[in-house]
Amino acid sequence: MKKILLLTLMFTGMAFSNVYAQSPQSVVLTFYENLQREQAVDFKGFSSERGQNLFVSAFSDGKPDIPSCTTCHTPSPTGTGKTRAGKIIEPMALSINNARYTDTVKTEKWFRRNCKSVMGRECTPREKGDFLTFMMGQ
Amino acid sequence: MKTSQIIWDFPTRAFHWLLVLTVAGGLITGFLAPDSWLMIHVWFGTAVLALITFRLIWGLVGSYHSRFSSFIYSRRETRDHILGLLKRKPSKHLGHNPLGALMIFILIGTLLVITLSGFVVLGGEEKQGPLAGVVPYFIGKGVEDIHETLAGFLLFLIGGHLFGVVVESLLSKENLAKSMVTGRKAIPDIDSDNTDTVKGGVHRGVSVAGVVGLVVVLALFLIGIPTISGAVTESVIPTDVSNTQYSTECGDCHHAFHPSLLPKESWFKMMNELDNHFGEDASLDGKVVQSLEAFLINNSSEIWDTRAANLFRNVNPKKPLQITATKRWKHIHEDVPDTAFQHKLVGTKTNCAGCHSGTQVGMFADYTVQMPKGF
Repeated sequence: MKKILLLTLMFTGMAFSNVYAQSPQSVVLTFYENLQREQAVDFKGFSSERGQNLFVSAFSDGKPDIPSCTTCHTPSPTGTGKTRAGKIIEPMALSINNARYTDTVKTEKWFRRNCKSVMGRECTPREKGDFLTFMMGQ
Repeated sequence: MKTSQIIWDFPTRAFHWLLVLTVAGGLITGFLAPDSWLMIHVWFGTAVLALITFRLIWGLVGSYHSRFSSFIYSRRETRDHILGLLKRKPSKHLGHNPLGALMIFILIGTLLVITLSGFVVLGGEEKQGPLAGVVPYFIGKGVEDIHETLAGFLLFLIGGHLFGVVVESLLSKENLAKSMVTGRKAIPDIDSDNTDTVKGGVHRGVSVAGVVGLVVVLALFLIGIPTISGAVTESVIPTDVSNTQYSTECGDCHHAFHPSLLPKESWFKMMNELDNHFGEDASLDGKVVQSLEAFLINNSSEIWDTRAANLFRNVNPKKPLQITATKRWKHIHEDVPDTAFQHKLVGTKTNCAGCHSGTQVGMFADYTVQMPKGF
């Protein structure tokens, strides 16, 4: 009986991890986790709190008219933003926009451009991982 | 005893009054209606061309007084008629008199040139209609002047035609306009100075054949021409950018301006400065840049012959500007108030599709512009 229970647990666990592993967002997140592990030995996981902080903070080294992510994306992760050229930016929160963070190349492209614009430098893998962890929980 | 006889057969009368309606429609939609009525204007023009075509055929095979041969006069006859007219005693004719006949030929010729030139303009400028594939933009643009000048001349001719009918009606004491409705004209007394031979009336069979011919020609033109247009148009309308790499990569931040809106040199320069794209970091992976650049250059304003491509082909390529910052763009939009751009359905000047339709294929036809409500 115990054995069966254990096996069941194992299989369900595998099934869950399988689902989790297959979600395209987790592939992207794992990409940053691996990068971060290469850089820092003591990787203790990404932090949603640090991600949120990154999202709302104002920076002074980037373009003066876009000090923060929230300038364009609105202060709420569920808000619909606007580009400088007037196009709508779909919400960042995964719960209402599951098309987000499904493609590593695309995610990298936007981190590269927007980190440079807002912070005046590229983001570190940890910052990117934190940010994604925060947005995926929203 | 005076009797009357059918002079104008039914097909000629039907032609005349349908021509009155369609020419009036064409003139009103051409001179007074807003751009959005263009296709209705074209419909009237197509109908006029069909009617004129019918009349040219009917002028060869119709009943006696409808045939051109019955009202081609010599110079001498025309001169004598004018001299008689000055003495208020013009020569009498059952059909068209020499001046009336002259007016008919000038009207038919003018209408023919107006309608045909209309299709040249439509094909060259709008890349629509049966000539879309063969007429370059600059020819359409040039012919537009001819089309409009002749339309003004047509107004003058119509005035002359009406004046002639009134004068002739008064002098001959016969309502000529009514004759064009009933087809009948009084036959003068045998001993009057009538120079015309009274020809037999109109056979029923001839009238029926004429009506069938009129309907067939009208249907052929009004159905055939739009069908040909649709087929031709497809080959000259630029590449659709929707759902392409271009529309996702560039369209994420701004309206995906059709590549035909700038010369290739501008695109080339712009694609090499993506890390500072009008103050924005729009950097892309090298491979993506390469394939986008190829797409842009293969569809630049040099490649296509639309109005937009022609208007934006000559912007300064050494200093690529935001399209909305070019002199050309500003000039085109000078009558559009800022509040129209700020309207919630438009938002910004760069949102071309807010008012224009067909932007994904680089078509910015005036007649498809739809301003937000209230403008």
